Amino acid sequence: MKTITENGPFIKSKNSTTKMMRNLLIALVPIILFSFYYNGIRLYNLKAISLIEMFKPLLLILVGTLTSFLIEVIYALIIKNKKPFEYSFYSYSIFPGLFLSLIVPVNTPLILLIMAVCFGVIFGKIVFGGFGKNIFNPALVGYLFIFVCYSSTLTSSLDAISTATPLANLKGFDYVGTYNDLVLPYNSIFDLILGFKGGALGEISGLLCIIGFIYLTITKVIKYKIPCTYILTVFIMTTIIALTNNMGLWYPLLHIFSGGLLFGAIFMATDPVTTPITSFGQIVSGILMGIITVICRSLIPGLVEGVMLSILSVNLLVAILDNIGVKVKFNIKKCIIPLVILILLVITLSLYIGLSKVKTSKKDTPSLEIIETIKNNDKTTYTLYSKGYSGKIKLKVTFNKDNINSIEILEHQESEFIPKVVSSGLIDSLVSSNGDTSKVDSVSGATFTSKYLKETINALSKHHRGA
Amino acid sequence: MKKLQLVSKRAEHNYTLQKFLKPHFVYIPLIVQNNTNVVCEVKVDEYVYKGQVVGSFNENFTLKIHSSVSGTVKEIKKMRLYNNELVKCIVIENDFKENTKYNEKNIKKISDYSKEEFIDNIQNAGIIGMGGAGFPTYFKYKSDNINTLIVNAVECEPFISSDHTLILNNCEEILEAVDSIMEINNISKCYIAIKDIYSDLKFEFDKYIGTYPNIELFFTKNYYPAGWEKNLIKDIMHIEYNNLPIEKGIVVNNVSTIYAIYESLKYNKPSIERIITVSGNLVKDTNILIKIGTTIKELIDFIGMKETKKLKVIVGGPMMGKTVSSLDIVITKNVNSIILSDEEVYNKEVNCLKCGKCSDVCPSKLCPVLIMENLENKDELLKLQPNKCIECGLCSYICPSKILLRDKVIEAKQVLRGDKK
Repeated sequence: MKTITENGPFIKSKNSTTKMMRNLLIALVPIILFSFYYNGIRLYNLKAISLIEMFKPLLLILVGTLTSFLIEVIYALIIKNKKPFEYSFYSYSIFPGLFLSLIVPVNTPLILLIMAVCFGVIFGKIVFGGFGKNIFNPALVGYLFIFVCYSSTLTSSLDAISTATPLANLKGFDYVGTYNDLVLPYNSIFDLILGFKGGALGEISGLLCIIGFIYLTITKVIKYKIPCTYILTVFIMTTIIALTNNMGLWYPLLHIFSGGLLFGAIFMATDPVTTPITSFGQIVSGILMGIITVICRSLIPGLVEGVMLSILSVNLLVAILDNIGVKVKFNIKKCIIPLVILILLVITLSLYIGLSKVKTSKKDTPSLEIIETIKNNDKTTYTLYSKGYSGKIKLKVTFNKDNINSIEILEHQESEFIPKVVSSGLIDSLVSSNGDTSKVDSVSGATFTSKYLKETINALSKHHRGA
Repeated sequence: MKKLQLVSKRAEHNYTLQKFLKPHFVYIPLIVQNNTNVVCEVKVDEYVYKGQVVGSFNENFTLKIHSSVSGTVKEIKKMRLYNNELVKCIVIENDFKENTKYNEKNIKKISDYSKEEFIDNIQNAGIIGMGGAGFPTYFKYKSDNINTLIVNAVECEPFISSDHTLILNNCEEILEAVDSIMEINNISKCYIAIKDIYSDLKFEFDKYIGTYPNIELFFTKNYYPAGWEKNLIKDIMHIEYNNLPIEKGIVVNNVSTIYAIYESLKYNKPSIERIITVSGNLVKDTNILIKIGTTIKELIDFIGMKETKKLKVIVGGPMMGKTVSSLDIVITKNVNSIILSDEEVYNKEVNCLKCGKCSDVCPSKLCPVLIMENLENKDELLKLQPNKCIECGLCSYICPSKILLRDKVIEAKQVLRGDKK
C-alpha cells in the first residue's frame, strides 16, 4: 500500500497571514468611517462642500487601494504568473495604497495619489522582490515621493475647511505656548483625543486608533511593543519639554494626539515586514522612532510632521537591531548598555530641546526690523520686515501724520497664504484700524500670516508714535 | 519564551489497554543510537527463546538486544525504521509458544540490588529511553552524585496517551520501582511530572503515594513542549543546565522506561514490549501493548483501518513525528505513537511576513526566520546557533505563512555540519 510522505508538524495553528491581514482591515474600518463622517458628511451638512466632494475621502481610499492592487496584477502579468489576481491577493497588495490614502491630506489630487502609490509600490516593494522582502514600508516610500516632489501641495497644515492642524499651530508658536494658544482653538484636549481636528484621513481620531491597537494586540496581529515604546518615548520627551517651559500635562497629550503619531505608531511602525523580529529590536526601534519624531517636530524648521520620516529611517536599522536582538535573546544582560545609552539620550535631548525653547520664547517679543525710514513732511514711509509663517515678509507702510495711509507687501515666501490675506481685505482693515489691531479678525486659512502682520503693524504704529 | 498551548482536537481516548502480542514475524533491528556496529549473535534457522540475546553492541558502551518472541530465525534482512533508515534486522518467525529462559517468577526483592548489579541489570536488559530519544538508560545512572530523579510522564504532544495508559494500569509498580531506584542510587528526592489537566492520574497516584514521603507529584502547565527535559527541570527545580541534566545531579526518565526497569529488576525480563498509542481519523484511537519488532502493517491488520487513497502514516506525535514511506516499518523501543490519517494539513505557503512569532515561541530562544534568511551565509548562521534546535516543530506550527521553518533550521544544522568536516 502506498503512503504519502510529507514533512511535519501535522497540526498547524489556525492563524494565517490572510487572517492577520483581515484583522488589520477590520481595525481600519472605524477609522475610515469616522474620517468619512468628519471630512465628508459633517462638512456637507455645514454646506461647506458639495455632495460630490463629500465622497472625496472614500474616493481617495478606493483609488489608492485599487491602484496598488492593479500594479501588482500588472507586475504578475509581466513576470508571467499564471494567476495574476491570486498573486496580487497573496502579496496583500491593497495595503500600501490603503495606508497611503489614509496618511495624505484630504485635498491631495487623485492623480498625485495614484502617482505616489505607483512609486511606493514599485520602488518600495516590487524592486525588492515583492511581499515580505522589502526593506522600507511601501506606503511611506509613496508618502516620501509626494513629500519631496510636491511638498507645496502637501502641506498637511490645513484640513478641508482650512483651519490649521494642531501641529501646524504648534509650529507657528515655535512649539512653546499656552493652553489658550495651542489647545483652545480646538475647544479642549478631549476634542483632540476624540478626533475633532484637522488632519489626514487616518490621523484624525486618536481614540479609534487606540481601539484598533487594542483589537490588533488581542488578535496578535501587530508587534505591540513598538507602538508602546514609541508613544511612551514621545510622552516622556514632551513631558520634560513641558516641565522646562511651565506647561501642563496637556502638552504631551497634544503631541501624542495630533498629527499622524498614533496612526503611524500603531499601523505604520508595526508593519511586520519592515520591523525587527526580536523583542529587543522592537523595543529599541520604538524608542528611536520616538526620539526622531520629537527632533523632527521641534528642531527641524520647515518640517511639520516627523512620524513618517522617523519610521522610514528606523526601517533602515532593522538588520542591525535584530543582530543585537539575537545576542540579547541568548544573554539578556547584553541589553543593559544599549538601553541605558538610549534612556540617557532621551533625557538629555529633551532637556536640550526644552531649555533651548525657553531662550527663544523670551526673545520672542515682536521686534521691528526697519530697513529704511523716509520722512517727507507729514508723510513717513517705513520699509520693514515682518515675521511670516514660512519666512519674512517685506512691507512698505506709509503714515500720514499718525495715521496709516497704506500698506504694501513687497516680498514674501508664502504663496499659499498672502493671496488669502489680500483677498480677505485684511490689509484694508489693518489700514483703517490705525495700529489698534486687536479688533481686526484673523484670516481663516492664513491664521499665522495674518497674526504676524497684525503684530508687526501694531508694533510699528507704537514705534511711529513714540518716535 | 511564550508558553503555548497547542490547538488540536485531542483524541477522546479510552485508556483501556489492548494487547497485540502475536505478530507472525518480528524484525529485531541491529542498531543502537544510530550506530549499526552491532554483533549478531544468532544464525539463520537457529531457534531463539523469548528474551534471548540476539545482538550485542560493544563500542563506547555495551547494550544487549533481545528477541521479543520465541521462534526460528528466518533471515537477516534490511528493513526501514521510523526515520526511514534502512537497517539490518533479524527476522524471527513466531511459534506463539512464548518459550522463555528467564524466570518470570520473582527472584530478588528489587530494593536488594547493589548499584553495580542494578546497572548491570538494566544494561543487559537493553533498556533505552522510551520517550523518544533512545539514550541508553544505564548511562544516566553511572554517576555517583545523583540527588534528584524526575519521572517524565508529561506527554506534551497531543494525541499520545501511552504513558497515561501505563500509569492507569501500573501505578503501584511504577512507584515501587521509583522507590527502589532511589534507594539503590542514594537519591533523596523524586518528582513525578504530570500535566495538571489530568485529574485521573493524580487520583491514581494519590492512592499509593502516601507511603512514599520522598516522591512528590509535580503538575506542569498544559503547554508544549512541557515534557522537554530542559523545560521540565526549569519548571520543577528552577535551574538550567548546559548539555546533560546529570551536570546538576538530575536524572530524567520517561515513565515507560521506569516500568521497563521495574520488569527487568523484578522478573529479569528484558525490554521487549511497550505500549504505543494508535490514533488518527482512520482508526479508533487506542493504546496497544506490542512486541518490539512488530511491523506497522501487522499492527494495522490487527486493529483494522478505514480504506483510503491518501494514507499518511506518522510515527511519533503530530508535532515531532515523521511520515514513513511504506507500511513495512519496524516498531522500535522508542516509538510511542503511530498516527494513521488522511486529513490534509493546510499548507498554502506564502512569503514570510516577518511577524516574529516563530522566534517568540521557540523554546531554545532561536530566531528561525533569521536562520532561514541566512541559510547561505555560514558566518551569520554560526551566530544564530541553529544547533540548539530541538526540532519541536513549534515554529512551523505557529507560522501564519505556513512555512516549514523546522526543515529550514534542520537544513541550517546540515550546512554547519558540512562546514565542520
